[in-house]
Amino acid sequence: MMPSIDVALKSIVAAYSVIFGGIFIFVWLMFGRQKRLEKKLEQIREDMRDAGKNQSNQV
Amino acid sequence: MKIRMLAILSLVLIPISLYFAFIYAPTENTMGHLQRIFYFHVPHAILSYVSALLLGLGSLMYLIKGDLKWDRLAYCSAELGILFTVTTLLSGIIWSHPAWGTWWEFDARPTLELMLGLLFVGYHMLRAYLPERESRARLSTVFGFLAALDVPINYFATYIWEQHHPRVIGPGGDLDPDMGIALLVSMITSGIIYAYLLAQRIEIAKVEEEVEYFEQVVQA
Repeated sequence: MMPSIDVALKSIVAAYSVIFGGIFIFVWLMFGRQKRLEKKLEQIREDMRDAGKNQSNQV
Repeated sequence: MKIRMLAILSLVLIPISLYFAFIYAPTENTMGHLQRIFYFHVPHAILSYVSALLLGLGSLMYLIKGDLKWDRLAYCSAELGILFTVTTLLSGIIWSHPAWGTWWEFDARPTLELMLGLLFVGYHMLRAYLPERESRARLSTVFGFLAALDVPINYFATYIWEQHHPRVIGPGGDLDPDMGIALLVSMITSGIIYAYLLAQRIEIAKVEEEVEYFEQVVQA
């Protein structure tokens, strides 16, 4: 039995929202993670630089 | 640069593929407009298989070569596998309610797709409990092989078992040529989106590994 146009359109909108919404959320989370990691990496590098300076001052 | 090109190409191709899915492709006789879900449901299902096969390949190559870049490919594709199985299952569920009159039918294909999704999740859960990089890569290959094994069974499920799931492409499928073109366009689009997501995810994985390495150095 062919579903009514109203039901079909609602289902199409829902399905395509899930598909593109899923991709959008994935990309958003991915870039969020990348930003956090770059900040963390920069912090670690700074910490290591500071630790190196302290060591040379002690010597 | 290549990654940016893939992103731009994806953004250009999305409206083109939507044009083919909604305007170019004719309306199907039995399901009417509802069938248009198929133009993105099928490519996403195929890409969930691709994820499983890449996961299996990455796991196998890691065991043979011992190079962690294969493990990186494996876990990045497993992550994409979760996304693509979820979108496949949800778009299938949304289609099946008006088409079959039920949200979920325990047919072989959707059940095996659900299993594939759970294998991807299980793979990441296992990795989360293993702190040591090498053992994490080695032990998680088991899930990689299971996921890759699920693919042929999943694909041939409509031929092995009698079930409701439509058989549209492959032997026994009867797809209108214009619908075939629309499907091909959406497959190319989804493939490029997939390539972009995988390439970008691998780049992030490299930064993750660098952070992990530096943290270990600082702790030591």
